[in-house]
Amino acid sequence: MKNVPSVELVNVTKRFGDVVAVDNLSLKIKEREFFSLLGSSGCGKTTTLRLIGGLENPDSGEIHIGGEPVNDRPAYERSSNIVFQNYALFPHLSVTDNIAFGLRLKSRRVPEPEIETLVKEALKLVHLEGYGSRRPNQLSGGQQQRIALARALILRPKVLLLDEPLGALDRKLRKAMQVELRRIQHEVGITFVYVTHDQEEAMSMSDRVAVMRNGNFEQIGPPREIFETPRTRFVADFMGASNIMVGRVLGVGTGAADGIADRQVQIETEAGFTIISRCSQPISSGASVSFSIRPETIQVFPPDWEWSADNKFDGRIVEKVYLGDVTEVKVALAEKEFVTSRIQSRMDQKFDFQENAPVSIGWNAEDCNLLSD
Amino acid sequence: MTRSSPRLLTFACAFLYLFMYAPLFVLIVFSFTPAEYSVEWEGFTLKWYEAVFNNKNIQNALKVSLMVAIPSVLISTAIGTITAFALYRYKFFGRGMFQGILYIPLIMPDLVIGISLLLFFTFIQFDLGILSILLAHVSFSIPLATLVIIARMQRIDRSLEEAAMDLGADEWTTMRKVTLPLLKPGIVAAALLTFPWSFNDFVITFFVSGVGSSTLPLRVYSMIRLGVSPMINALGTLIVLVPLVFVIIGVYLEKRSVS
Repeated sequence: MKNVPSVELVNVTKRFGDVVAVDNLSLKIKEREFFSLLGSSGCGKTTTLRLIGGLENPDSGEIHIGGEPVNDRPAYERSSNIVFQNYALFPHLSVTDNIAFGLRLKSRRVPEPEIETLVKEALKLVHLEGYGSRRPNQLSGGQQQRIALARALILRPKVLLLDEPLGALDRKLRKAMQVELRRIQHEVGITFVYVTHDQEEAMSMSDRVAVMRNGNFEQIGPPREIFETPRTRFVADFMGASNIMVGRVLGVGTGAADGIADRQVQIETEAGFTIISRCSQPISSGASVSFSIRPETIQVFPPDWEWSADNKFDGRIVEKVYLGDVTEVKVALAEKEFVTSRIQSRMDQKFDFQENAPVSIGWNAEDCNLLSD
Repeated sequence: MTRSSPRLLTFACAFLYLFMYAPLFVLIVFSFTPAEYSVEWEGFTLKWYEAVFNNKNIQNALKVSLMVAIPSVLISTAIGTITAFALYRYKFFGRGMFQGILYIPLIMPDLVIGISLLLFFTFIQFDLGILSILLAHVSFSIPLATLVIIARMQRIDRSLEEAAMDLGADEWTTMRKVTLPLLKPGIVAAALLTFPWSFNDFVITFFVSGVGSSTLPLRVYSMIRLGVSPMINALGTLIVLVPLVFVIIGVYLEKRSVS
């Protein structure tokens, strides 16, 4: 049983009229995993979640929860529970009655004293002891959120499905709830499938992230892998790697004496710059490629500064944006070739960079990430 | 915005309300004065109210009215709830058309509805009496009840029902434990609004009532034909105030359900 995936999708497709919301998806989510579906609105992430929960039926494909096929089971017979984006607390019931809703259903036959104990435990888990007799509309957004969580968790589902649960909260509360959610997940030890459009949120909480686009997975992997080595232009862009360049492979490193190290390639960009990039996939000379560079890996120094980098160029600052702890500096290498760097604001202060001033800019081959499209 | 426009608005409003309620006010005032034929104030009396309460014909008519109005409200609200469910929840061929058709009885002249119902009852050889009045009232109350309940239903968040299903409630339990409690203010409002529809109706009832089954409005009409007695004023006052209370409660509940 150990290797049975908690949730498995096999070639699942869902259409709404002419729109293909989920396009032939296959996916395995491990037991106790915190798995995030990340994408912009309309990418099919919520539909995927609703398919798992049984609120939508797939047009084709199979869905398994805990190794059992659940295609024919309606939502009320599945061992998954959803935390809705708008919480969906029953306004006509008290907090206690909301949380006890699932347990009180005849099909579960839980005796009332036991329900009372379980509700108390659930309220304790979400740090809302003593709120049982209130109505949902007497609670703040964050509190409602936690009640919705308690209502779903009390049923001990195999999988908890969360649909942008922190979307309506303010930034500070959202940060706190992110930590809280991770704690709760560790405490109850069940699989979480988490839908979000916020890449930072997905990064900070997940064991694995699936980036979705047009009903497809663009990339699935641990946050670090997706962040540092995005496979496609879309993922790179979505992860905030604002430097995406296009070029042609000049030479592939063989470790021989051609000046290019092993696992590296030499690329000529459209504007004619030669760049050394790391490369782990087989590639041949002359192939056209695109690559991304994260702005925080690009360094900027005054023009006469003594320093070294695999790729070092002279440029001119065209734009500077102060962002608090970091400052974004856009540098022109040539007429139409720009790179954006993100440097510590105190470095900016130290060097006193001015717009239009000449600078020395560069990055290492290690920080160049080849994209596959 | 100029300064004069609020003053103009105030005047327009005052005029409007005067226009609407002055006749009613006259009726109410003259129900409390003993003068039998003149329209002059001759002191305060409750004798016309006493006469109303002691009048056997009026008592019978009131009984008929309630025997029609109460079942009519119950039946049309129940059917309205079910119809609203069907029209709002399920997609089927001609749904839009059915929803549109609901509005037609609301704008059709009562005269036409009355004549067509009379023709229909005659055609199927249905005896005219309390039962035919009840059927007629149910038929014109259903659209109102349905529309009021649909309006409420549109405000219920679909995800609440999904949440109930997700937590383990089947369709029937979800309806019983979530949908109906949330729909309750709409259902109550529908009942309180259809009551005066039935209680006040004259034209349609006029066509479908048989001999000896006069509702209150029909009785008033036949009394006026013999000459206007101030007793009519007293009765009219009662007829205005009682359903008004129901409407006010209905509107209040409907408003409260919004917030």
